[in-house]
Amino acid sequence: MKSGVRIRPRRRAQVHTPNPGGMAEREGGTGGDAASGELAPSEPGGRSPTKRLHRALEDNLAVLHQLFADCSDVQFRHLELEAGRAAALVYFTGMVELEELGVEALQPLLTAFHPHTVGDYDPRQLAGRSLPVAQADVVQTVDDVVDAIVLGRAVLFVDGFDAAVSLTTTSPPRRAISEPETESVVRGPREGFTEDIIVNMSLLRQKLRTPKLKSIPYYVGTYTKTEVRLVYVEGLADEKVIAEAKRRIEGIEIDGVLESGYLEELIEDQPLSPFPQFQYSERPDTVAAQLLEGRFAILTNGTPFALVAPVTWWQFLQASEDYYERFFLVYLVRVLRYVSLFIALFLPAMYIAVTTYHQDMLPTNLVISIAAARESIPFPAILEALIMELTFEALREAGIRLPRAVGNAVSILGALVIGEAAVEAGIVSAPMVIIVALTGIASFTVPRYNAAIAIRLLRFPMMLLGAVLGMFGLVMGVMWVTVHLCKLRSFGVPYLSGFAPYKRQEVKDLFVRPPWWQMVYRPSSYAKQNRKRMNKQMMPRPESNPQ
Amino acid sequence: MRRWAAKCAVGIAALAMVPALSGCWDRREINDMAFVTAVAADRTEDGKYRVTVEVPLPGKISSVGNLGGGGGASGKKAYFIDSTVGDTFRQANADEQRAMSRQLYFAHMRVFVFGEELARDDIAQVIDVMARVPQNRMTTYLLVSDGSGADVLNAESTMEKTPAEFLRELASQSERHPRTVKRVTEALLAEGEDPYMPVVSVIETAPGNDTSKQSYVKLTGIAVFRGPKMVGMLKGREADGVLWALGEIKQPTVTVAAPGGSGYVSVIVTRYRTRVAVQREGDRVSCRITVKAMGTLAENTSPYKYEETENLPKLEREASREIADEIASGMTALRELRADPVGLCNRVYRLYPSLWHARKSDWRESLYAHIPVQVHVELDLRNTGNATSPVAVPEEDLRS
Repeated sequence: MKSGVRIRPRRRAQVHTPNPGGMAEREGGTGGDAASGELAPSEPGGRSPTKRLHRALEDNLAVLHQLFADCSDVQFRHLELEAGRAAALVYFTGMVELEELGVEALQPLLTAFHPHTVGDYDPRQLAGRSLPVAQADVVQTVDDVVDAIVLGRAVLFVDGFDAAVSLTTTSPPRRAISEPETESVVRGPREGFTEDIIVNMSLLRQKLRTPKLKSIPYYVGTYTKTEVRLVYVEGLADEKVIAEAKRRIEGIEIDGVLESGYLEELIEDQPLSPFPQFQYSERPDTVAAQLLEGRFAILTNGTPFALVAPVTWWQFLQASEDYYERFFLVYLVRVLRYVSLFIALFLPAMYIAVTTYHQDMLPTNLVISIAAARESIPFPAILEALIMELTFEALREAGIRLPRAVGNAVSILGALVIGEAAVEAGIVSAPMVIIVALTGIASFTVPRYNAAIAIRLLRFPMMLLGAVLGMFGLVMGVMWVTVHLCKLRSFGVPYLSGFAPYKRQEVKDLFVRPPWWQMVYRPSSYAKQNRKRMNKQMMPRPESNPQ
Repeated sequence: MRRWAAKCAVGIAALAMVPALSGCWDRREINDMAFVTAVAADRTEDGKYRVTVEVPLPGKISSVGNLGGGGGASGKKAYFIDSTVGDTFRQANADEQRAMSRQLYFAHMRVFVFGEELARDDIAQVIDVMARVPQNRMTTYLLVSDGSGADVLNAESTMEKTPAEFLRELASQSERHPRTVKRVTEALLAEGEDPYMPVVSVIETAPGNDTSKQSYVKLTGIAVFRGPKMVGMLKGREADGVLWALGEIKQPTVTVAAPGGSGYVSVIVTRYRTRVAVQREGDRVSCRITVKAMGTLAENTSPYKYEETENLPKLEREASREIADEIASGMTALRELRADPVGLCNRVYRLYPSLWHARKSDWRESLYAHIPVQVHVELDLRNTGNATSPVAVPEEDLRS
């Protein structure tokens, strides 16, 4: 393990990865192998001796009836096969495709299937030969049966055999792939992840068509059994980082995971930092680009947001479109973002510090017009700033949660309250409105929402420091943030990598974006091996263009 | 976990108390301060300082504040002028503060005017205040008034909102490098060099009929100091000549009679460079001032055509001589005052230290008074303007 990686105390293993080898290439259905994964809480120290299935159908069904008591949506479909042999299908309605089940399992079993010997009814035979279902797996323990049922499979029992077949049908239809609303682009793909991990995985695989794209499945959450996949490109991602990520995910013990945010907070390096240590994205192209730079992604079933790590701070100031649009523009835009970042973090604090302590720093005419504007304001600058900033934050919060129609009303109200009435009533001064508005606009230019949140949060302590100690306090604040950022690690990668520690190949993609033909190497902070990504002489020249 | 949480809570509580403890003790809201933008200092007859400060009234000066009801100041003027007397500069200020509801704040003082009497007496004590108090800036412009300094602040500012702004703009236009506290202090401290400052005069006019008198402020020359004491004011040609020698004159215009004919020709000097060199020959020191200038013909009331004729070099010579005469008259005036703002003796000090140290005790008489000044001006007329020949002069009357 790298020295930078914090090693957590190993918890008891709850989730096991069965047969990782066969997992990566599953498509279009939750895999059968996974069904044999042990999901129920088990004893410390490994797998408990599992209860095997009975031979008699009634005994098995009795066990299931007991386990699924008061589950009104569980179905026990009793069948009578040839020669009076009893069988039963057990599944949750709504989680299996009934039509497919009828065509692929019931029809052949009840009408077309004529066994020669008793042994042909053996589920092992059925799974392998007789049933025309794409996914059919043999299960032999009660736990496996339960897991298969809760994951949305139908389990077929045949009287007289101590095994059953789990049948996988296509998953129920989900939301269609649509443009991600949180990361819209002018130029770039319009597809975004959905809530279905299968769809998401296939979207990723359509971007990276290589067997080197690995995906390790985990089932996290005692009750939710949420499928989580660790995705990376073998040969690009640092193996130590991947091993650490595996270890951290395996260590999770929680009742449920409903969104990737649960995982993020459970496995990040510095849980008390205001700065995000995972990037999240709804865009397959963004995730694919990150995988190509040697990072890994964590897909979580039930959410369109994929987590990406290890991250550096600079990544939060880069949008996917930076790499699609021509680089001249991106030069400008990136500089603008850094300026905005500075404004969003420090402008109100600086205004407070300068107007209450360092009036000599302002040009004379400006100081007089600020004084004129503040002439009738009853509050000190810090209070004025806090009132305005809190109003702004409240408006922003109100705007997010409200339905769109009401949201317009809020913004009109906000513009009226902040822009007009407050100034006219002499409660806040016009320069302060400008400062808050500038800060607001600047904070929206940070492309990643979770980074913008960190900036938003830190603005308030900065304002207090500026109000209490002036520029001196502000400098203290800057130093604290800088030291913290220097100390921060994401899976062992320094948060300011490229700049500190300085890396020539990486630093050119931080503050500006070089043209593609100059980014010959992958960022060495993540990609430890196989660093070259293109031919060195890729800059188009007249003689290199075939006529 | 619980201990950790408790520690955190204690830490947060301690941090939360910091602002309350400090109480922001030196916090000054911007609207609780009186920004002094101009100060005039005069010497009263009984040897005290009269300090006049000008404070702009933000509520009057800016339309922004009117929204909220504005400040309490009444009257038409956008500024407030107050004058007090004290044994020292600071004492006068302290007395002034008693008449102010807001804290006097000097960091925005852009112009400082020495009254004539004070300048003749001693400026060093005031310069000491400027350099000692951190609120005062080394970039404050310094002016000497012709007469009382308070009158200058009281004169009407016709173009700017406050007299302070008007004076500041005047001062910044007076020279290439306007005299600031820093430059004047440097000159005071340098060996063999004297400070100088621009002079402003209050001029009263009655435009049109004499119903209402107007007073305004004008730059009228330079005040020449011998050490910290003003010894004279140079005006007109002499002042311009000194500024030429200093290389400080801004956009000078030279007007000469057209060589060998009627009418005048004005030349605007667009670029120039002055070199002052001292040369030692045995025990004597001589000085040579070289000006290389480039100019444009700006006005021609003579019938001469200056394009591609012999007239141009003639004019160049004539204008050069005019500049050289100006410089020479300025240097002569300076020598008579025994003041050396150009720093001839400073150059002696730097080039020939042994000579300087031998004469140091009475350098003005034994050294400075005997330095002959040779002036050499080379004017190059690059452009005769858009009109190639004098307008409305018939072709046959043109003289080449």
